[in-house]
Order: sequence, then structure tokens, then C-alpha cells
Amino acid sequence: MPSPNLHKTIFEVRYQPRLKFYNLFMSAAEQFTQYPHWETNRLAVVLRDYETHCSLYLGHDKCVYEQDSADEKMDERNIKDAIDKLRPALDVGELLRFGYRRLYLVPLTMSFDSLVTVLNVKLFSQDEKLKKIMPAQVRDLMYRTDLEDESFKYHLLLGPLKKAEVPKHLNYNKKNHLAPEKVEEDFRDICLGYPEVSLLIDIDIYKEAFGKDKKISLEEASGFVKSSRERAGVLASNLCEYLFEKKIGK
Amino acid sequence: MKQFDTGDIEKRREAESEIGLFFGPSGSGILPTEPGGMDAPQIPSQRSGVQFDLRTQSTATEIENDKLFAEISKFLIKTDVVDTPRINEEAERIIRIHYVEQLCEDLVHIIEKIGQPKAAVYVDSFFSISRAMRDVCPFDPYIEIVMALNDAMAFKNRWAVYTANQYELVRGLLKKFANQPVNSELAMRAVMELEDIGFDTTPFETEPSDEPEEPQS
Repeated sequence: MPSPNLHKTIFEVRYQPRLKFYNLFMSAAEQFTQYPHWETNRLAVVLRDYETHCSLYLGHDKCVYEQDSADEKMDERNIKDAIDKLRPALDVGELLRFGYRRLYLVPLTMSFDSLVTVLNVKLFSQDEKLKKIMPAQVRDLMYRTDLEDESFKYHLLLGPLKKAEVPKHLNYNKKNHLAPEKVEEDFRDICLGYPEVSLLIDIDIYKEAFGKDKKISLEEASGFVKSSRERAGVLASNLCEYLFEKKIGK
Repeated sequence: MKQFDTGDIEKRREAESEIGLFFGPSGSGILPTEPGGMDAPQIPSQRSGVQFDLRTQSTATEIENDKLFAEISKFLIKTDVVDTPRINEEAERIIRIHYVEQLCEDLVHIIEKIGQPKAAVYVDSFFSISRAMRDVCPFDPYIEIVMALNDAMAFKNRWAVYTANQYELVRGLLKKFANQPVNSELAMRAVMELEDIGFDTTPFETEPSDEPEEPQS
């Protein structure tokens, strides 16, 4: 059974922009010692680690952690660190939105056409009336839905990819995650390593505050990340199981 | 996944103009490039050197027009009908399982409602799922099993005659063969098993041959 491989994780918190930020963000950035490289335009700062392919952006209205790696422990450690330091370093206590996004690739041995047929049969309506309306052949597709459960909202995207299409959809952060001296060389090697045919699973789990005065406490974010990580993993695995099941039960 | 590419339309337009056809301004119709200007079909009786022509001129024109129509039709058919691409065995297997699960679910309902009018609803669903399966994976030998079962059930509404026990055995058979690689030989064996269960998989009458029988020595 093909399984999803994690390629990218993004965690983002949005907060109310305040002037105070500009007095705090440089000293806040200094506290994140795990990122050896940095860049600033004096309005925001980006902290980078080319070795582990991750970065942290501190802006006046948002803080974003991003990693182009499958290292789940690093994602857990660095996001926890960012949440823990936001309040003391930037005086951020209430949030407007937080989101946790994961991009998986499921490498497959079947042809692209076959994958399109499987996804079409499994994810789209096979109603005879609809089939009569539409042209005969589905050559390519994308499954995109916005979902919601009792706790969170989701943006879900599934799509078949050929090797050449992967960089466009996976959006590797070359600037922040690869050493500038050999960025093109490293990126070419990364692209060569992508599977010939794969399924992209893009899961964005988020929560946002509605209404003018509605806010989400920063403390909620820790619990949110933990459960989002689990949900994204389970959702990706279950989708794979559903889409590529090759045995029928008793 | 790819984005919409209007360039493809241009390519098609070029290809069509090469063979003397083009899309009208609205793209809604296919017309000869020069109405009436296309090489007029040569009528045999008008050709020099043809001395005997056993057709009237109007018949000959009609035949040539038919030929022209056939050529245009061939082109139109080629543009409108798209071949179903042969998909990998792996994908065939995945799709097979997807449909067989639904077929088996319908069989469970048919068994539950056996002898009741409600069973017809699930039989109808069974038939439409079988057809959908055949359309998506026409090359999977497993389809032979499904279609044989279809014939046995559909002919003269014989689905109403079979017993719950027979349907239960069929359900087991469908699952058993769905979980393994199936070639034509195995599919034939499965059809034989269907016959053993009591399903008449060749219910349709065949036309007797018109040819005279060979005399027996």
C-alpha cells in the first residue's frame, strides 16, 4: 500500500498589528538561537537554518514557521519554541488566526493516466447523467474542498502530479532553506529525487477568530498544533488507504 | 495537475486547417475551407479514357458524394471519439475493488429483500454499477465475470428467480476473484463456477445458421 511522505510543514499565527512590534522584534529574533542565518528589511526578520531546511518569519502581523523536511520531531520542537517565546518576546497574547499545513507526496508506480482514472472514480461523481453531459475523457483533475468539524476548519487539496509539476505545487522555499552558495545545484538534486508519478495531499488545518472583538488565546495554539499534527497524519493515511486499497474485506 | 492551456486549441486549429477544415468564427461548426471550392469529386464517366461506365451520371455522383461524406464522417468521428486509455494493472485492481465492494453491498441488500419488490431497487443499482465498471476498466478480464452475472440476472428478469443462498454464493465468488490477479482463463473458470451455482450465464438464444449442414457420411 503506498504511503504518504511528508515534504513540507507550515505553521502560521496571525495577530493584530501593533506599533510596539517594531521596538521588540529584533530582540525577539535574537532569542531564537537555533537559526544560524538571518535577514531583515527592518520591518520584519527571517531566521534561517540551511542545514535543517527550516525558517521562522517574524512580521508585524504574523509569525510563520516553515520547514521543507520530513523531520516531525524538529517541527514539534521548533513550533513549540515559537509559541512559547511569542508572548514574552513580542507581547503577543491573542491571535486572529492560526493554521497548521502539511504537504505530502504519495509516490506511485502506476502511470499518470491510471492515477487520474483512479482518482476520478474514487473522488468524483460517476452519475450517468453527468457523464452524458461531460466530454468523454478526464485527462487531469484536482480535488479541492473546504471542510469543517467540531473544532477546526480545513482546506484539502488532492491532485495527481508528474515529476516536472512537483516543484510548482510543493513550492520548496529555496531562498530560506538552501545555502545561497549552491542553491541551484541543491534544488536540482531535490527535484531529481521527486517521484515520476505521485499524489499530492495538501492539508491546511486552521482556526480563525470571527467578529471584531473575537480573539483566540495563544495558549490554545499549543493544543491546536498537537491535534492538527495528528489529524493531518491520520487524514493523509486514511485517504491513501481509501484511494489505493487493493483487497476487499470479508 | 495542470492549468488551462489555450495553446492546445490553436494547435488543433492548425491541424484542422491543414486538412481543409476549420472552426467557424464562433468555433461552433466545421466547414470546408472554400465552400464549393474543394476539389470536386471526379465522376468516373467524366474521366478521360473511361470508355465503359455502367452507371448513370447521377448515380456516380451520388456514390462519390457518399465517399466524400464517409471521409468527413471518419474525420469527425476521429475528433469526437476518444480512445479509453489502457490503465495499469495496479490501477485496474484498485478500481475493481472499489466497484466490487459496491456490488457486494447491493447483493447483501438483494439477499435481505429477496422475494420483495424492494429488491428491484438494489438489482437496478447492481446493473448500473456493473456498467460503470465495464466503462472504466473495459480491459480487466474480471469484467467477464461481472457481465456474465449481469446477463444471467437481467435476462427475462431472472434475478427474481434466484435464491438468497445462490446470491450469497455469488457474493463469495465475486470477492474471491476480486482479491487475486485475474486473466481470461481464470475469468472463464469463475463463469463456470457461476454456472455451477445455478446462474445461466448464456441465456440469450442464438440464431440458427443459414448455411446448409454438411452431409453426413
